[in-house]
Amino acid sequence: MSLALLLTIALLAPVAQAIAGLVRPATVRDLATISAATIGAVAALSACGQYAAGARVDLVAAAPLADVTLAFRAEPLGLAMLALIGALNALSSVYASAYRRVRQERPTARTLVFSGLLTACAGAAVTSANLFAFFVAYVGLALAAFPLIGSSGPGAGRAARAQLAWMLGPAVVFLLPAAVWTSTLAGGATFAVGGILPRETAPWIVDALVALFALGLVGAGMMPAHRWQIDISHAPTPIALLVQSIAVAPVGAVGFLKIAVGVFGAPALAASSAGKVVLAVALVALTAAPLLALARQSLSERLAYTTLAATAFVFAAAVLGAQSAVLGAALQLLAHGLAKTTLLMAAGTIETATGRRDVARFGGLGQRMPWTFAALGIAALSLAGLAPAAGAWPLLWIVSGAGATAAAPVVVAFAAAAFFTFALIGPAALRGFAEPPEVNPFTRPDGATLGCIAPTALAACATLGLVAFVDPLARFLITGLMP
Amino acid sequence: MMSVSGWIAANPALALVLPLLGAVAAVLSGRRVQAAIAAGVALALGAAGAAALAARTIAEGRLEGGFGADGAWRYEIDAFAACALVLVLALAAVLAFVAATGAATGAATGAAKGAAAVTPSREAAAAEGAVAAFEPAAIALSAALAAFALTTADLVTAAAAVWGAAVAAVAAAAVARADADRRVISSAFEALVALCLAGALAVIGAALIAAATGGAFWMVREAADIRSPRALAFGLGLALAGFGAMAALAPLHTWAAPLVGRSRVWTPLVVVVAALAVALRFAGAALQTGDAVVPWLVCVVLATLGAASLAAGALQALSAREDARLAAYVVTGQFGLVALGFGFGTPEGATAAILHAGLATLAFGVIAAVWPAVGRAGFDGLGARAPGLAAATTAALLSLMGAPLTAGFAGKWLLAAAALERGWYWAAWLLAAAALAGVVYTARVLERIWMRPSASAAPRLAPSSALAWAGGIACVALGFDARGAEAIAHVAAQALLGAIR
Repeated sequence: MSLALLLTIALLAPVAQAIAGLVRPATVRDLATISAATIGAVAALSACGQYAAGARVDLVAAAPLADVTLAFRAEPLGLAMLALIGALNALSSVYASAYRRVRQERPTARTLVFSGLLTACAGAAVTSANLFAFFVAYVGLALAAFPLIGSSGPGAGRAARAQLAWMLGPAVVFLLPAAVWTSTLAGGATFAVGGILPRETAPWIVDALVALFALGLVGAGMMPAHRWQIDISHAPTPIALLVQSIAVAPVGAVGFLKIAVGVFGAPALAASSAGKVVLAVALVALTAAPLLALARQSLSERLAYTTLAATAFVFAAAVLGAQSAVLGAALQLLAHGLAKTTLLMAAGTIETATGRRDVARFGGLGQRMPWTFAALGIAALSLAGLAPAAGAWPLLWIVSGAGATAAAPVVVAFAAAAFFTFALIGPAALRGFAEPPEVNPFTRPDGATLGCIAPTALAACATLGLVAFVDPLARFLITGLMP
Repeated sequence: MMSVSGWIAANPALALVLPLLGAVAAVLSGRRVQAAIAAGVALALGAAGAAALAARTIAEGRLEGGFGADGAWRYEIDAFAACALVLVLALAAVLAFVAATGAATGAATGAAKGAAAVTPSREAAAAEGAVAAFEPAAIALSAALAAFALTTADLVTAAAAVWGAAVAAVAAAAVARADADRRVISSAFEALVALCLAGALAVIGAALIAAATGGAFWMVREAADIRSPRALAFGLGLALAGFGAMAALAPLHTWAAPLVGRSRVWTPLVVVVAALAVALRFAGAALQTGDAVVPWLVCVVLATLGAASLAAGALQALSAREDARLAAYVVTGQFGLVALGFGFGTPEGATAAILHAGLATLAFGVIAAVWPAVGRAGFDGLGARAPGLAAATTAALLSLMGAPLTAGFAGKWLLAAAALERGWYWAAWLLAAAALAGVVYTARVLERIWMRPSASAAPRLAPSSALAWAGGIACVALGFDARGAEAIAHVAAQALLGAIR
């Protein structure tokens, strides 16, 4: 199959998944959604292979104006993220099906339809070829997340309204004017490696644009616009997965990275005054998020804070300017996506089987739920950036990039964030194995089901196995990040 | 239809005569539905002809000529005027068909009330028929006068014709629901006073301009051709203020919301579009003068009116509680954006403003066509009782909001780009803030359309429903590709600005 067809299938499969959410009965519906998600994942992975083999393509879905097109491009970062989103979506679909059966929940058609649409918008955002396409996908993401979050449980309406206000408001007031301004200055808004802004652009304009883009994306999961992310941490796991690890939060980070590389060029961004402000804010968020999380007992709340830290991680790395830091940011998106998915699935599985959310009550559970707790431990290592998990490599690259730019406080901040992040989850996983087991900790007779455990274990295996592919992955990504 | 179009393209006066014939036919028909259909058909033919005329002006350039002894009426039609003519006549046709739909719905409601209704006497029926036919006749008359204003070569005549069109539109609105709500009369009277003042300003301003330029204002290119720059500047200020008031631009827009809110008819929109178009013709000619002050003054006046309208329209729309008033404030905001864009004084700004005006008029036309289905229940539950019309309304509202992949996005993107290119950063951010307000009030209306239960029965389908669906589809289609409309707007801007300095 051609790269164009594969990309089209990968982008449209989640839409088919959304339509499949309307099918009855439940078993057929679950099979249809899982099939659509799997087809999307396979198409995205195949598209990566086609690109690596030398194929190139741009898809133009609409052209509202002569130089404003709704276009999607097969490029390394976008394809890698599309493959990640597709794979995680497929795992999440299996997990969600089992999760709902165990909890005897009947999902509303609205939940299933908007889950698919959310994933579709995420795929469109990461493969967007220009600022207009990214803006459209980002706004679609904000609109699709709203009903999903709003229907996630009692009291979720407030979180949903906050999410919509924080994503849509800054997108309209900051992101859109920034896109128009960039288009005016550069004669177009298509991302290009090395940046599209003319060299003679006045420094204050560059600073203003950096600030506008950063503010425009702040709602997707960056402090201080983070309250809604914490509020939805108690949502059902399938929804938390979509918002925190598959669709919403990663898209904000990918968007900033794409803009850093494709609009400004990483070195120019690093040299700007606003870039330094963004770096300072991101470093504060990076270290503050895990510290704030330490005060929480609920694992899902702690994970919500680590999402904020991960977004700040990418923002900070993107504005460092060094090639290794930018590459580290891209790898971090992939490694973090896998680790966070594993952790959220593990947290959901533990809660489903035992009714426990607080990490203080995890003691001894590891011996009754070894697969789940092993996955928890592996993902915690990766999230903290510790070897041999995949998360170690991005951290290493970013720290070396920070070292290359002689930014010692940056190195210290990244190291501290890694330490605090491990302190959040690592001990809980260790206590699960170290403390004596309870006789019967389960709230349901047979504990967790295979449908919940298998996707969790698979995600953990991928987190671990990614290490083997770091080098080829880095070579694949680098062509799309540096001129 | 094609032959009529070609005939009008060859004989521009027919674009005026057809609406007038529609008005006469409406009066003679005596019954409201027939009157409205007669007016609607005449206006639709006029719009089709105007489209052919626009195609001719785009291909051949400005058309000039005259009729009567010594060219008593001289016309001067460029691509901009022809495009504006299409918009005005098409909008008027939609409103006429809407009047027919409203009449049909009213008749159905009356029939449903049962046989207890007393059969009226022949005299009463005749009087009722005359009144009922008045609204479509006034719509056609208003459109004819607006068309006259857009095509005439004489400044004072143009101003007086817009004034006349405004009076006819207010009369149509007053008659529409005066029997149901007597407050419409007082609102119409207030509007009439405001519009008479505005019309007087416009006419006096036009007369001053004519005196200052020896009546050759459209053709003045050099400073030496201006007899009195001060009189020209003063006249332009008066004329733009007068046209601005008739175009419902802030701060002189207060007549529109009470009138539309109480009468619940959209007839004044014809005047709003026509007055704005005539104001832009004046401004376009002023921008081409070689004088140092006049172009600057025009930009300042238009930008001030536009920015005030954008801000006031957005803020008042946020606080509006009635659907019709909300719509009136949105009109002020959207057309304020057009004035602001033209106030940039650049070809890019003019292109964006003209494109936005056309696309906003399309969206307002859709909402006007849906209006009979909205009825007294308002937008609440429209999605439940008329899903197709609700979808068309949604497309139009999203277009007015400037949502991506709808028609309105193209105009707003180009306007923001023009503001940034001009270095007017405040205007770009005002636009963004107004867009955010638009998101809020549009979301409220959409929530009412789709999330609330219907309070009334499904409406009868009518010609205006088909127009609404077609318009809704156009709003989406133009969101995917507005390059053709952009090209037409570019030609219209070139015609308007000529060799802008």
